[in-house]
Amino acid sequence: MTTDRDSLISRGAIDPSELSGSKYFESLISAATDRGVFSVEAAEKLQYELFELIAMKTEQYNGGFSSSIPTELARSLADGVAYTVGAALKRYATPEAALEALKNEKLSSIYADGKLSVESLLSSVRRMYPILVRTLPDTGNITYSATVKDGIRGFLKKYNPEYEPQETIITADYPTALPFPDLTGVEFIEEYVRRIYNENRFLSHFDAAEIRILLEHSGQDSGELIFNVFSEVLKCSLGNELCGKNPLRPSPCAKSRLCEVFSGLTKAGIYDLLRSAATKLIDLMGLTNKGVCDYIFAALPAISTEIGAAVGLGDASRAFICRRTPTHAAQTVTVSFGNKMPDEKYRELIDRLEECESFSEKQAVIFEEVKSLGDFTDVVCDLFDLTVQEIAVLLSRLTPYELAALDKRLSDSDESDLSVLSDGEIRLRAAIDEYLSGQTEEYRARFSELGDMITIEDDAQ
Amino acid sequence: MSFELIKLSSEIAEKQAVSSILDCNRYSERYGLQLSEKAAVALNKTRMKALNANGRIEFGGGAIDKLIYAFCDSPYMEEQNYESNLHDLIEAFYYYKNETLDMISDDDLIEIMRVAFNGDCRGSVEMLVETALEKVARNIRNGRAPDYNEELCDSTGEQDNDD
Repeated sequence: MTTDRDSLISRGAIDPSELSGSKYFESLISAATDRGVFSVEAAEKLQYELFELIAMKTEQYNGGFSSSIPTELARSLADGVAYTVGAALKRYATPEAALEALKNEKLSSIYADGKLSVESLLSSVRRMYPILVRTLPDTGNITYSATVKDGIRGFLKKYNPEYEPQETIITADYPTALPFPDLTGVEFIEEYVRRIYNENRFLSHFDAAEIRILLEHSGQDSGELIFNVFSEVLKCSLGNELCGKNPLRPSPCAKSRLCEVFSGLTKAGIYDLLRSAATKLIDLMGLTNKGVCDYIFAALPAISTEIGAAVGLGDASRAFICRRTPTHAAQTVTVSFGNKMPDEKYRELIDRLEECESFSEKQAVIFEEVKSLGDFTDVVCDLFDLTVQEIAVLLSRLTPYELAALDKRLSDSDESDLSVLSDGEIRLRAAIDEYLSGQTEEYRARFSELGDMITIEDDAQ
Repeated sequence: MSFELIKLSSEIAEKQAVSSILDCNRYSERYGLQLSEKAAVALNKTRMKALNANGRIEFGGGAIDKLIYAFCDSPYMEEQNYESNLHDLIEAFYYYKNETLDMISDDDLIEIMRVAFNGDCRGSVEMLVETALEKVARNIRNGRAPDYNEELCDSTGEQDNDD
């Protein structure tokens, strides 16, 4: 009977995707045996070495207290040994290379390498965890903060790399944007923490308060709901980029514009569009971290699928967070842009304003002569020498309803596409954004709710 | 490929266990006690059966040699009952490892068994199980020391009451 390991030489490729991430060693041996790469003798010899390892581990665990242990405990120790060996074998470039290692090296040596791998992953988690906690955006999502802060801390406290390296310990309820591979123990946690880190790096480019307001529009403002914040904000950013809005302001997307952008596109077409938008977004953000950039691109296929499904249902905006419409009639407020002054009188007003020597003089004239929101909008847009900051000062004198109506008009309609807005409207849009960014978080939240309540009455000439 | 531990344990450890049992003859023969290979195989089978019945697993020769060394010098062990007693002691040992919640080491449990067997139980494994071992298990399950004496404490309580 041959007992050497020559029969371990590969005679056929093993597809890595066939192998289990959580039970790599077992699945590798199983795949090798199924292909006849592993002889029965070689398998038995490997089993014997494994048995010796497990016996050593049990002795170590027991400290000589007992010669026997409960079977469940023995299985757990055996799983731990297999997990650690698997961690070492995964570092080989191919399954065949891993099998060669099993051929040429003692299992105890591979196990020792595996222990180093496990320790290295654990150190990585320990390094990333304080950074994660420090940079965690306050999105209001309880699952997000509970999992990242408390969950990972619990893992670091309880994880036993020596005897139970395969145990994940926590449930990691908060989902990451990308589907999770089959991993357990510290491999799972390290991958999880790395993903959250990438997501956090992206989210750190947005105002946390604005993210919260955005989520309120999605109906996912209950802090206890379980969903991935990064995906929602990324989608919103990409949607706004494609609709000509500021992608760095996570505001609800314009429904009709979205439908227009994605109309008639196949899933591949949607993906190409998103990829292009993501490239621009990354450039705008000044993101240079390759891991974060790769993560953003990796999230696009799932987003494309979601948008594709929505397009198939006839409404691309279903895949995005759009402004919520009021659900109760009693909460609706109608704002009228009012009757505009006659053209001749308007021209005289503009002439008078252009002769004013200071902004304060202009401000006084505007609020003396302008009586309708429609006229106010026209005056602000037509006075080209008004700066964005000066317009913001004028806006501060409007009622919240008037301001919300202006904001809504420039957000919801097709005119929200900056490429079709006039220069004056672009400045007005920028002034509204400037004004809002200077307000408190509470004000912005109330303002957003106001926007949902408002309906605009058609102008009367 | 199966990593069934019980199968592994029985196949790989069996030879070690039988060999280990036979090695004990060098010590036990000074007390006139010896085991044949057939007896050693049978004792190992009893060990495997007891481990299986109690949901336990053992790597290596196990506790049989410790039991042999502890009991072969007992005044109640003779050639006629040596093998049968060892079978009963092995079953009792693994049963009470579970019943004592793994809180007593092999050496301590064997010592408790040896003292009781040679003392109050007068060489009866049946009495050993029903009295000494049952008492130890009860003490541990009730959160007391293994050698806690209920009767002593009860009688002390009665005396106090009388006073």
